[in-house]
Amino acid sequence: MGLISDDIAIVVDNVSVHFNMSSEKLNSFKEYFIKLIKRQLFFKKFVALENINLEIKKGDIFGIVGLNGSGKSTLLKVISGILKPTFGRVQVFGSISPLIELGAGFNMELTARENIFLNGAVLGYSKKFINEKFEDIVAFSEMRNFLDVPMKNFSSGMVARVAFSIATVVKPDILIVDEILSVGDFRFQKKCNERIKSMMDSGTTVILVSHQLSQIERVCSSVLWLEKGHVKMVGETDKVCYLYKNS
Amino acid sequence: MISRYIQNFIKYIPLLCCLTSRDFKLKYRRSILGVVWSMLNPLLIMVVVTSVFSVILKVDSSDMPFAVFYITGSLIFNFFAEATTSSMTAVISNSSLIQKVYVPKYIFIFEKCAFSLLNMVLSSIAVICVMIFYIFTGEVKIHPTIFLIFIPMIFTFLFSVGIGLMLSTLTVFFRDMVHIWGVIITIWLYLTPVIYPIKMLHASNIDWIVRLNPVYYFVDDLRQFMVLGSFPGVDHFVFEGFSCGVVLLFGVVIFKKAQDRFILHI
Repeated sequence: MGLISDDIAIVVDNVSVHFNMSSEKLNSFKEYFIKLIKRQLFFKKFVALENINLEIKKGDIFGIVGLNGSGKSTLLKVISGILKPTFGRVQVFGSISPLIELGAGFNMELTARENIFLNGAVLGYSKKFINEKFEDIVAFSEMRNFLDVPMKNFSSGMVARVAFSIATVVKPDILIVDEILSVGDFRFQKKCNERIKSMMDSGTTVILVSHQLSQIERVCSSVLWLEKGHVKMVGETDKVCYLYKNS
Repeated sequence: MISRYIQNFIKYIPLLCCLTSRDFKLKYRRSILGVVWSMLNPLLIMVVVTSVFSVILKVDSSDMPFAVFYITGSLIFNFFAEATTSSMTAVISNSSLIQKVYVPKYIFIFEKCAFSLLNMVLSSIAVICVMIFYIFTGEVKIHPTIFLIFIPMIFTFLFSVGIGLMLSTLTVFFRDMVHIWGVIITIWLYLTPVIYPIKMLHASNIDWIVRLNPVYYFVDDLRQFMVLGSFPGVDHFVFEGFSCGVVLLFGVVIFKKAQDRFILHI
């Protein structure tokens, strides 16, 4: 590994992700042994990502475009450490706050208050820290009146409000945004956009996945175009978006 | 290398506490007696089992009343059974979390065992109530060794974590474990002198199996410390330490090897 300069936030080094796609998932001994005896334990190899090399600079707003199934979410999962790549490695310099799916750690039986602490702990924050930020979270979500209601009684928009407020309460070094800018009503969306924008302005590295090309063109400084797990193109926003639109 | 693991673990201790309190709240939500059930339940079961085995089947527990004999044994064994059964599904039931956020996955197994430990500590209040009753009738005496009961409890905890790590790994790949384990734990119960004294086995030839069963030693230690006031031999502790070490080592190795593939199967 050569020297990496200080202004690099993420290095994706020759990453490949392969899945074993058996025709169905074998979840029981019986199925497993029957298939084993019948010699049907063949796996179709599915290449989700192949030889991805990428460097993202600190403070960059990096867009990823591509059709459905081109490996965008898989790449985000690899970067945020959820999925180990089959080959290659990823180096991340700085704290990372994934917004891959809002509210993943919520338990709907618990109240909003309890869930704020639970979700904060999932993201690795200490109890003291959440206590300090609790006011912020509640104020931003505008859910003060429903704090002690079990979240199963919330509407999906209300859940999203709480989730977004927790996920963005700290300013992480790297923020991953996966199509989440469409939560809640139009007023809350505006608030979300403002918050993300203020993070971008203050030097946070952002990775943005979106199918709204206009949004990518507006905010991103460079763009990666994925096609069937391969890097089709990476470079300046205008050029990549232009070619992507006309492909 | 090791310090990095410890640092990571410390970072997620709040999560451990949060998950435990989540389980605790959910367990007693909407029940009128709430946490009292943790104490009441073992007492009621004890009454049932004592009636069946002591009165009807006339099992002889010689050196202590049968009720005390049973409730001390079941305290440890139920802890073991609950901890392993719940850690078995810990990974698959938290799949939504594991698929979305990076969290060290062993936390979930650890949390289930910690939650069961907490339950056992609450249930031991019931055991103490029974002890007090028999102290008044003069059938049981209180001994200073009672302060050592944390030793078998910690051994059981470590042993359960080891088994839990193995079971949860297996369960991710083969959901059959959920069904099989119910049978295994029943066999294990009868191979542990919880409802009968080990003396009854001297005549039979399965004596040696029971003597290879680590849970028997945990149960026996607890009874000696709590009720008899005697001190188990050093060989007890050596065997307990050894079996916990082996099980934990196997558990950690298996879990660590397989954990990166969990996400593809849950």
